[in-house]
Amino acid sequence: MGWLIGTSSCLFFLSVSYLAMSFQYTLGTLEQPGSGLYPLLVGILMVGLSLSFVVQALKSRKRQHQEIEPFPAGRDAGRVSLLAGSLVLFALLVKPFGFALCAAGLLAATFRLLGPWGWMRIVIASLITVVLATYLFNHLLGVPLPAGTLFS
Amino acid sequence: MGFAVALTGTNLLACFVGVLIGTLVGILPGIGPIGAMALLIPTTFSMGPVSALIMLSGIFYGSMYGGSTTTILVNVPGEAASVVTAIDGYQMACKGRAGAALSVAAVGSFVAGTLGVVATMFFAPALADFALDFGPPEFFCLSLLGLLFLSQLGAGSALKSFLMVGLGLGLGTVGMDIILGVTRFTFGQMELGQGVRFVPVAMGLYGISEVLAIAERTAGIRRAIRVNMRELFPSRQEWLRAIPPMFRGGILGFALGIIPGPAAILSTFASYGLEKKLSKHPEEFGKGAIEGVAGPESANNGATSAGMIPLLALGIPFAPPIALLLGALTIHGIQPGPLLIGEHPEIFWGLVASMYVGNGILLVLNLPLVGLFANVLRIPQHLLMGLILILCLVGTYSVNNSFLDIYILIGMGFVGYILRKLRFDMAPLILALVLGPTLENSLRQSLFMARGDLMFILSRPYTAVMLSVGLAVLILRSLLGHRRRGRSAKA
Repeated sequence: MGWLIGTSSCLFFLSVSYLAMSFQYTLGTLEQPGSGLYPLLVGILMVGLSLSFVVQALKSRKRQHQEIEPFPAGRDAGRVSLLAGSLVLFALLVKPFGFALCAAGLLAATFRLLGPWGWMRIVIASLITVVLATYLFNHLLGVPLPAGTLFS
Repeated sequence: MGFAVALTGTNLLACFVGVLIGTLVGILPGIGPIGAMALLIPTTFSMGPVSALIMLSGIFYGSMYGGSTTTILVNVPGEAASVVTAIDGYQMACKGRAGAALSVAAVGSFVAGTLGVVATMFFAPALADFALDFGPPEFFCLSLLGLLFLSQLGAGSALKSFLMVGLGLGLGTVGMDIILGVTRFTFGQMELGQGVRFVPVAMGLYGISEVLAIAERTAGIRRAIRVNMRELFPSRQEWLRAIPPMFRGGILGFALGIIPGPAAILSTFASYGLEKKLSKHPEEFGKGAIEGVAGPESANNGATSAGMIPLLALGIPFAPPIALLLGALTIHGIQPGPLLIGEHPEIFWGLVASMYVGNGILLVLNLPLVGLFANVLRIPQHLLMGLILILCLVGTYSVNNSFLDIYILIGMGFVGYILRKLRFDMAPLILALVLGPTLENSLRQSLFMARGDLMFILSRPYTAVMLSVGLAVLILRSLLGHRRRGRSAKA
């Protein structure tokens, strides 16, 4: 039934959870507001807004295609999903394997998915980019990149 | 003092690098000045605060120059504020007057930028002096007004913008409550105690999501119209028609730039409308009227300069790119506000002077090198996207050597992608994330001062005016919305 209804429901659920969690913190008084007062106000605002959004999404479900941009389908969706998957894999593997290896893999995936290059060019370009990036950030800018817990 | 600071080797280099990157970013559709500034904030950590601010500001106003190049040569706006230039700029290019359009855009931007800098020199200290009387209640109302205006005037529906503001405010509460030292919404994760940093959020929402959006398409590279050096200059008649709109656009842009919201975009539309009304040849608009390029291009640069005033004088950003400058200053340990000019005059005057210098550099860069910049569009898209991903990941990690920031970056990238599809404007989220802590602290300090008496806050003259303006905007927007819905129902 649609991304709008799904998203609005998620936002509503998130807002209600946030509001419920804000009660864990001391509200205090108006004279001495506690840590929970501001989150409470934000939570109430979010619950109200997200509820309005749910209602609006339900009312406009027949013309939802006018309210959103079409999501990709077929090969385009596959490309986006694979790229997203590569990013998730990067996030999972960067701690044990380090930046250089994971970035090379991510770049290879990106070049393969988005461009027309063959594997030889992809591997060379990925390696050159990672070496340059490591030199630029580690040595020139003094930003230490993760080496990987498996290798240290 | 300003020029003494701006003309040091380091700051001159920072200015040059900033405006060059800004121009390139403006030329390349997609990443935008906010994304570029977010990507490059981590590279400023090794610089002093003045150099960092000069470079990041250079990216901001440089992107306004660069955006016009792609708009005129390829009919693809490099960034949002150049959309209006596409109407007449590309038409001029099709008639063989691309060089004239580019020259007028560059000179107009220079004129407006210079006017804006001069005005900033006078307005900002005056506003800062005025704001010395401001207390927590005034800052609370000002922050609230800023968020309200941006939600009302941003792209997309007001409800969606308000939702983004709420999300941003909520994200801003994660971490340590600095008043009472209590950690909130950390789920037992020590790293979250430092809060959700805006760099991974901004990079994720604008950088990662842009790469995912581009992954959907495999469009070829559009061919840019070629420009010969000898065609670069407008004719005498074209100059005579272009000069008054440059000045009008610059002044209009500056006036609108002080108001919270997407000032650069609004000022371009306002200027276009004004020039069409005042023109002796309104029938030429849409077919290559030079006033349709000169006015809007000047307006967006005027608005860019004016946007610095609330940041420097009040410490309140009224637009997302300015919010990133605030974030960068905070990272460098500088708190902008009414006391900035007194406590750190080198920052204020150095920045103002560097804007003069930057505008000059941009004029020199943009005219002779326009052919070179147009070739930037030929960089293979997959190479560019790969570089953006690496910059995002490294830049995010370098803020605090935190893997959590990488997870937030990627998560926000997915969120940003979905939000784009659902036509949410992400700028209010960024602004709310940056302004949220100020909003909360000023609210709580106000309640402490007032000993719980809300009338104390409402009865102060400045807060009363600000809250009245905010209420008026809400009511007006609501009435206009009802009227529009009524007309559509009848039609």
